[in-house]
Amino acid sequence: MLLVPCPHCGPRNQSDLRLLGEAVPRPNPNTATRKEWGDYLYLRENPADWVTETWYCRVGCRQYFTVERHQATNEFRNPPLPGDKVGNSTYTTITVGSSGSQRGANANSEEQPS
Amino acid sequence: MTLRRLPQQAGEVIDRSQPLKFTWNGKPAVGYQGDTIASAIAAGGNRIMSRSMKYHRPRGLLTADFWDPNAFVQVDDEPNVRSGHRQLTDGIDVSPQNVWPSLDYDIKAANQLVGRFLSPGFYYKTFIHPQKLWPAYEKVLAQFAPGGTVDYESEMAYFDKRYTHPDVVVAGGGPAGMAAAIAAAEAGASVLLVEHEHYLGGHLRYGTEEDRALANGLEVAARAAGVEILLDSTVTGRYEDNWLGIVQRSHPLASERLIKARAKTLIVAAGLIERPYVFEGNDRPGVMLASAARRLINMYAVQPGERAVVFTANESGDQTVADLERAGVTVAKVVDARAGGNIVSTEGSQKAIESVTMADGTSVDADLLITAVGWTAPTSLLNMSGDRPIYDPSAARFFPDRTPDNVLVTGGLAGDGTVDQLVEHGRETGTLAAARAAAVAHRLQASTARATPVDGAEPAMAADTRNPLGRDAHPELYRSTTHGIVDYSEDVGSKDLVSATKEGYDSVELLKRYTTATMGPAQGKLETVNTVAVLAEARGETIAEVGTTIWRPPYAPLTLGALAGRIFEPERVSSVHSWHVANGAKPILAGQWIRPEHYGNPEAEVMNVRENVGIIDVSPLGKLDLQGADVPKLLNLLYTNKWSKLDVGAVRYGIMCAEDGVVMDDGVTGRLGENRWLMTTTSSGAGSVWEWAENWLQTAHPDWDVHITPVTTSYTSINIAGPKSRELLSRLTDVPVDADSFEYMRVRTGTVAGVADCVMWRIGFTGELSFELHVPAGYGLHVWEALMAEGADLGIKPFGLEAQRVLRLEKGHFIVGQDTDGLTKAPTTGLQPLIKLDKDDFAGKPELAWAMGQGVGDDESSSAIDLPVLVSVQMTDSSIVPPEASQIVRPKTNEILGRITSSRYSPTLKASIGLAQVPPAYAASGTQLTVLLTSGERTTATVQAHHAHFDPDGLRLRA
Amino acid sequence: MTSPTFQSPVTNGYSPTPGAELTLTDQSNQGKMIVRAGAGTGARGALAQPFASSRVAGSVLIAGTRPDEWMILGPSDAVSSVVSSIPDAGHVSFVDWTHGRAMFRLTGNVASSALEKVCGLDWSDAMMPNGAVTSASVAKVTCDVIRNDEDDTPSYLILCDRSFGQYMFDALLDAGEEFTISAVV
Ligand SMILES: [Zn+2]
Repeated sequence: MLLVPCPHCGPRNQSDLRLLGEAVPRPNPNTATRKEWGDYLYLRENPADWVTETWYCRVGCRQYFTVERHQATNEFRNPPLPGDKVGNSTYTTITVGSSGSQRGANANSEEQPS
Repeated sequence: MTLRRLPQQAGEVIDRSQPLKFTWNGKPAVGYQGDTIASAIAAGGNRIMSRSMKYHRPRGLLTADFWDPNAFVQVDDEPNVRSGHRQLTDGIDVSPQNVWPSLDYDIKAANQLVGRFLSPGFYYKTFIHPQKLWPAYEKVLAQFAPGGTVDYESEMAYFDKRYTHPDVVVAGGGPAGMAAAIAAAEAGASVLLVEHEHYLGGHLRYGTEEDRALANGLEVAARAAGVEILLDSTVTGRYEDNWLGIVQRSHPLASERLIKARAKTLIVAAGLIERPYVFEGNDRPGVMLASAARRLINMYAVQPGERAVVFTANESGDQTVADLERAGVTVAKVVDARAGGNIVSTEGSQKAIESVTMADGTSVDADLLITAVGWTAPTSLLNMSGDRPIYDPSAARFFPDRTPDNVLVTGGLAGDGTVDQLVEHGRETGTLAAARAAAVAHRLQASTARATPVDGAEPAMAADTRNPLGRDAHPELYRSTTHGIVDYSEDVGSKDLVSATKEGYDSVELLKRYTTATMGPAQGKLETVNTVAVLAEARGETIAEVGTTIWRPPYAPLTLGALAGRIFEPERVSSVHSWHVANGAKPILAGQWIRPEHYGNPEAEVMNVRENVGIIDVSPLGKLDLQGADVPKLLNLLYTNKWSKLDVGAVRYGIMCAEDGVVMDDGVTGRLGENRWLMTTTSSGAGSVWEWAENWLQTAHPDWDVHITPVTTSYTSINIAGPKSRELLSRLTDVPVDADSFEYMRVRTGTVAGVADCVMWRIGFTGELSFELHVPAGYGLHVWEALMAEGADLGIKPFGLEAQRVLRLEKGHFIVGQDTDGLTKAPTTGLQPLIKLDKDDFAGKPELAWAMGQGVGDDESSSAIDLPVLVSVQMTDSSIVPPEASQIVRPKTNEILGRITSSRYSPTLKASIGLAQVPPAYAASGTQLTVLLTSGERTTATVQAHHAHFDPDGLRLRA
Repeated sequence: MTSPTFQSPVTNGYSPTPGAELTLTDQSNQGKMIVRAGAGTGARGALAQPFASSRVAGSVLIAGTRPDEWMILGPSDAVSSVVSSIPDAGHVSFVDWTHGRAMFRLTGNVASSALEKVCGLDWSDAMMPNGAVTSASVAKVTCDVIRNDEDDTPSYLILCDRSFGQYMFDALLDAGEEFTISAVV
């Protein structure tokens, strides 16, 4: 259960909010082509990277807000938010004895969250 | 009989003054308070606990704890009870599983003889074709399916749920976990210590007197420090931001309680799980892990055999020798793996070992073989925290790599050491966890609007300066030179794994799913690393290269009841509910609302509305109070029609579309005053329309002055319908209701039955003259009862949802979500006049423009898209009412053209009527449609000229 | 015709449990007014209550329930007189929620333990001090919750849609059963 930093309430359980997905600008309804309108309705980037998305604080303050979230690590940023991701942003190495070299090798693997 | 109860042991947890009677396998038996079911059965001299699930081989105790794969039993009506863990209670009836007709003689053990046919994937390969034989296969296979018996007559159990927000959660109450909990609590943190077993102390509980003294001391200190201790409970999962699932099996009031904890720091101190050894005959009863023997002797005073061979690679095995000797077991031979010794097989009957053969070819007679070959690190909670543990061949187990700041590891998972070193590491971990929890708490409190303001800067995340634990060298011992069982609960052998690898299932995740190894009730705790080792050997690689499966939640199983917890099923009722109940209403659940479907005779209710007057409770109708200068702009945006010129006192109908042009909701909105509107929505759309409108206001038009307040349950809504409705209302209100003063589609506010501030609008969903009252809900019942009393001489009767459905269908009104679906665009409904493409903007406008051939890029040659058309139909045979969603097919074919969306018998018209979605070519009045009934028979229906079957000109509702 | 009397959404009968740790009191008949006020309006200044907090003003309670919304709770007459003192110039609106919301008071030293059984919020004093206001899912129904201690005993006002009133009252009683609870209707 992700903690989502509502700019009004502070961190709240994900189940208290509704995720509306990537924030997509609405084309001018009087000039949009079928493709532009279709992209607006259906096309999303969905990168394993930062996305700007819209949340609705459904159970809480009933405010819509946009925020950037990293879709691979679930970190939040921009605007600087109250209660930004707690504790997951950095990783520490567990101190163990003999196999330091192995650990070092793994530390550079692609799986390492930033 | 080789197993028996020993005289009093110094560390025993049984209370010999409290004998408990139970039955095992149909025979009376006795144990003591504090026994597990398994220890009591073993103390009675029983070696065989169960039969294995596939080959039905007799099995005895292997680990004698929660994870024992051979000790699943049926207890009264509860199947699959872990007898190595569940404590004995008085009077229970315990029976073995997977046995038929009996534990001793099992017909299905014939599977063993055909074992070579039950190769991995046997069921997949053999029973795939032909498809039509599946039901037959299923019947036979079901007889062989493992597990106990479900009693469908069982009483409902009470489960429970709770949330908690401790600073620190410690998973595991061994020496390191307890020390961590104490240190964290002493540093000021609130601490929840969760221990899987019935006792704190971990392996100290079955250790020496010193071990037990240390465990007791730590427990006393933990309680003194204010640590909340949950015994017989398991942290089953770790999710985002340290959201933890904890199952508490020891709650006094509930069978199981699921605790959802948001921990600021999680300490994983899950310890180590002893690993079985793979060799020929390793599942013969009498082969036991060292920790199992130590538990049986030291905790339960059960002698596990008479003559033992001990195969040891570590201190735990060495200590077992002393324990066995003290318990009067003859230790016939100690085979030391560190000195190059090895065992290759056991011999004997199916029910007991008789001898053990060593690698040097010698054999020793024994009825007990103890193996101590190493440990599996249960890294589940670390995997769930994003860690990918690393295999260390010199220590022969996996170790954590890196975890998030808010997850710390201590105890055997983190490394080896003396008990004192483990305790010290635990203390340091607890102190660090408390410091980090304080930083997290500061941030949470400082950023939460409702919280007490907190002073000062956020403390930095404390650095990890703990002294590391070392790692003891340990030989890698997974499989001997012979083949044996790897997964006891799934009956998968090392030979099966090798052959599956040769078939190409040579990645660990594939191998697991193909052979089902690690997928049984032990969930990999005993067999994962052996599986990986066998695979690595078959591939000629190292364990580190093969890697392990990812451990997923839950760590330990929990019942579906615990997951459900106490079930919250919110239900809503109107203020008139008690009257409905008292007056014989048949309830129907509509969304969360409990509503009257009818009061006994829906057809009579329909006719009474047509002839006299009826009232229906429509309180669930969604209602939104709109205030502000820019409300008309919002209405223009949400609805497809125009709202700028709605004058005070007027009511208008509109439909709302999503941005893809699909009909989302409909309803009427009235202007109550210069600056105030009341919007109604469908009952099910009340919440979503509100959110939709707020979205437009907050994200697209934050400059508009509109306040939306949901008032659905502020009002009891009552529809008065029928030719005598005006007469009835006139008796109860000070508002003039004559046809000239109160016209169709107008709204008035006033007093009804003495209740002020009632909103009345004249609209007609039923097709009759009708008034909809919205009464302040605290007085709703009063007004309802006043209407019933005043209308007695007019023939008033209440009507329910069913009569309303018939009335509206006779009138041809569609219902959003019933006659429309997730693809129905507005033009399908036939309400093109309400789609105003000349408005500057409204939700879904471009889609509707294209649908009507007038969109961007369209020109004179463009035409409307061939959307389905909603039409009214009448069945040729008035005695047939096709079920809703019946298909309309092309005559003489099965080609689906459309469907019946609503259907009812109309008592007014004495006809079978409906609404249907059909292609434009089939929408003309008089078209004959072929309707496919669920029986496979076909019937015909005729498209009508108007949506309204009844009073198409609307003379009655405008009367 | 009988004259109208206000009917609570809690229609079932309950007998009190003497000596119970918790009490759950039905206060649905209290006056409840919603005030919405846009930025820069005089009403905001007059209300002077930040979001997520509340204060007692005479016999009424003024709570900041949303960033632009306040709730005024108390005897109907007192609520009306407070409301009439709020300037209504600009983008300001009032909605009477007396009939729209059920209102219960849960009081007792273990009240937060009972709430922990039906709601995933952190009810500790640090995160939900006396006076704090929040909106939360209680037994799967969205409720306004205001901590309003009585004589230093923790006490929470819980408001939900009137139609959920009977369900919510029973859900709270069920949550409190483990600690012993008495219903006052
Ligand atoms: Zn919020």
